[in-house]
Amino acid sequence: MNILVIEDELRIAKRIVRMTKEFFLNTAEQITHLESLDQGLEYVQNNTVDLVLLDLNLNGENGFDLLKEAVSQSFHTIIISAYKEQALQAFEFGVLDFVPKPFNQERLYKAFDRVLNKEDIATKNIKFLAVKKRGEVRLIDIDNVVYIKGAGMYSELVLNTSATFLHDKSLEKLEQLLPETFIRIHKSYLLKISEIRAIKVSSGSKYMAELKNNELLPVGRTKYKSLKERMFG
Amino acid sequence: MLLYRLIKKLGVVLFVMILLWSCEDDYIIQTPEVKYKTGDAITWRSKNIDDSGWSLYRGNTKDSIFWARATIDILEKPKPFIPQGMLIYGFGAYEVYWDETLIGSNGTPGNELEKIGEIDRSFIIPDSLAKKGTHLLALRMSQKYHPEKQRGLGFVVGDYKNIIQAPVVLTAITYIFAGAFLLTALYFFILYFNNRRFFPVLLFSICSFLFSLLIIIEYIKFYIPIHYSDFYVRLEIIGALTFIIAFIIPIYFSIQFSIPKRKLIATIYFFLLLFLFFYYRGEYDFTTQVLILCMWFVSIAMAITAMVQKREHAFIVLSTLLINVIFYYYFEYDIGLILSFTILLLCMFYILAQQIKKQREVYEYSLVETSRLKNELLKKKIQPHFLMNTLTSLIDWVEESPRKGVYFIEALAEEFDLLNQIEDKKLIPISQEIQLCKSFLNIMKYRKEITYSWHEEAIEETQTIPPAIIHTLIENGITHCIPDTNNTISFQLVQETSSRHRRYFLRTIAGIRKPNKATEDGTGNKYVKARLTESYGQKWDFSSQKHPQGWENIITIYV
Repeated sequence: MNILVIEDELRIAKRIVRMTKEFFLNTAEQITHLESLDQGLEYVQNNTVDLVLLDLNLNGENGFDLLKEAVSQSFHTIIISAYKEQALQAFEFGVLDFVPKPFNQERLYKAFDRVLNKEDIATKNIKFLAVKKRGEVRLIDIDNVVYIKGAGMYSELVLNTSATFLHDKSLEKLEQLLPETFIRIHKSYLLKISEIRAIKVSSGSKYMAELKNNELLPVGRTKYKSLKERMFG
Repeated sequence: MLLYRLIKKLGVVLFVMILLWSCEDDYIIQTPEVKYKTGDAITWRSKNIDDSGWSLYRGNTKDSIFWARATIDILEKPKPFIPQGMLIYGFGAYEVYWDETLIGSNGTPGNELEKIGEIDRSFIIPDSLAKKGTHLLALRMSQKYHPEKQRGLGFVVGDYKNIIQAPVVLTAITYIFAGAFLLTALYFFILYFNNRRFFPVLLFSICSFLFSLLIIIEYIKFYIPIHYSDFYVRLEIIGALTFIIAFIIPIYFSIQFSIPKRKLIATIYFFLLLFLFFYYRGEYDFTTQVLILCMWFVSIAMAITAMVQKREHAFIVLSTLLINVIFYYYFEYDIGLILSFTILLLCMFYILAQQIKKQREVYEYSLVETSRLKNELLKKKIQPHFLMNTLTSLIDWVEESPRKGVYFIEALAEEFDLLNQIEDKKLIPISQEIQLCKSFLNIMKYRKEITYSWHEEAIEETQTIPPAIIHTLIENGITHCIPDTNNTISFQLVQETSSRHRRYFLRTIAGIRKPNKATEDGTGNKYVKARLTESYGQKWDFSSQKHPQGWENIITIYV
């Protein structure tokens, strides 16, 4: 696992790095500490990163610029910030966790647990999915997302306007971030429940979800039961 | 708002006054042809003597007796039981013969040592003689005082009650104005001496006062009997008052509109008025008219200049002045004068009220600004970025090395203690500011694990500066600079003093994090500037720029 710590307070950075090492032990192949946004951006572009620990207020700069960039990437982002009031907005952008300063080991470990256990995050306030198109980060309102299709390491967002966007995060990671209105109906599909018109059973007991836009999506055999429960109680 | 309402009310009163004045139709002054003859004969009162040889000019009669004869018309048939009367504007002592009958006297002609009588006097016309038609009026007169003055005679004939009452009613109305302007004068006078040394306030107060005095003097003749020998005293006073007012009003506008070279203009204008005053001396009403014309002209010229220079209120003043000129010609002399002065004073009042309102807003803003700056100073140390990062580092120090943790806490305590001492001050000794900076660097040393060094040079420790401005610049330095190869950031504070200013150079000797980033004022620099303005007004300079060794801030405070 490759972990990047972006923090301009050296003492705090040392603390984060130390605790990260203690938690991940030898699963953490590399822990890198950088001081500024620019260095951070450059680093993520040239290296494979699995997790970013980010301070939102670096040297008087606005960390939300980096945050938009970060959440559009394949890795999960954990914010460590002195400003608790930024938490709500950070979650809207789709961060995995928000650790307010001052923090102790316990709190940081809890955030790390989420990374490892693929555990759902408690507060799902995500409002946007940040996608990169022609080098520019665009924020997609999740209200406009109908379903998400897994495409290997990436995902494809399908909007109600039929437009599609590629997202760098895997379907698993997005499932972790998205609220419960999105349900995994198939190993390759994450669908917004309210978009389903009916569930059809075709020959060979293949289940299909018929969407309001008339599209048909396959429903996995194992997912059918939980989908039925969610839909009909 | 209050002033605005007052102006509105005065406006209404003014309107009512104009209405009343324009309704005065039944008060007609008759100036018939008067024939004079020096000498004395009781028969000269008779209707049937031949006066065709009498002169139309009195000539200098010295202290001898002369007679004046004229025909007076009663235009309408008087209503029964309404006594008729006659008002005579006459210069001298006289006996009045109405259709040969003696109906009254004003002093004793030929014996004027005791000054008895008045300049305007009303007489009752006996019922039997007050018929519609033409009547003969004969006056047996003498003019011991100012015998060379040729002042004609004027008559008002009509309802006796009306003749007596009308001037008093007019006086009452104008005196309401005199009272209003007297109070205004007092109010602004007190205002000027209590808290606002704003010269136009005093000028306006003086103008209001002189104007109320002018009204009082102008109408005093209606209720205090003035002997004709004292007649010119009143006119002299009116002339002098008009002179001063005519001088002050353009001066007021020149200050309000910041007219260039106004001292020179004022001097020239003063001598011009003085010249006119003496050149036309003795012509009284005409002199005051010339002075007022001069005032209009100069004021209008100033208002036009102000319009061209796009000064505030210039348009209002210019239109008021032009309306005034029209008023002045439309109404008869004294009413026109009072009316136009009133409008002009209201206009001056309006500008002043607007200015006072603005000053008040500026003052209130400065109060808000002061408390805002105080808040900002306090916030520096409780804002999450400082506090939470410090606490996080502190926890780490306590966990790692409790002894250093204690030092850290002590440094923090010192910083808060200093902050506590300066929080509500506008200026603090620079030594205290330096202490604040040092203790802040001490805290940052534990947080950033960078060596911060501090050097000072030629600092006069007794001088004062606004609190936390150097501290703020140091915060900026820490944020935007990276340490050198020895992991050090150095700060240098150097003072340079001259007779005209003292200047502080604060240099951060280090690398700059983003050397190519455009520098714009962040909250830090805004705080510094706001603090400097709060304490020094315009007399300061602040610059912040790159320096070969890092960054340089220069604060200049002018003496």
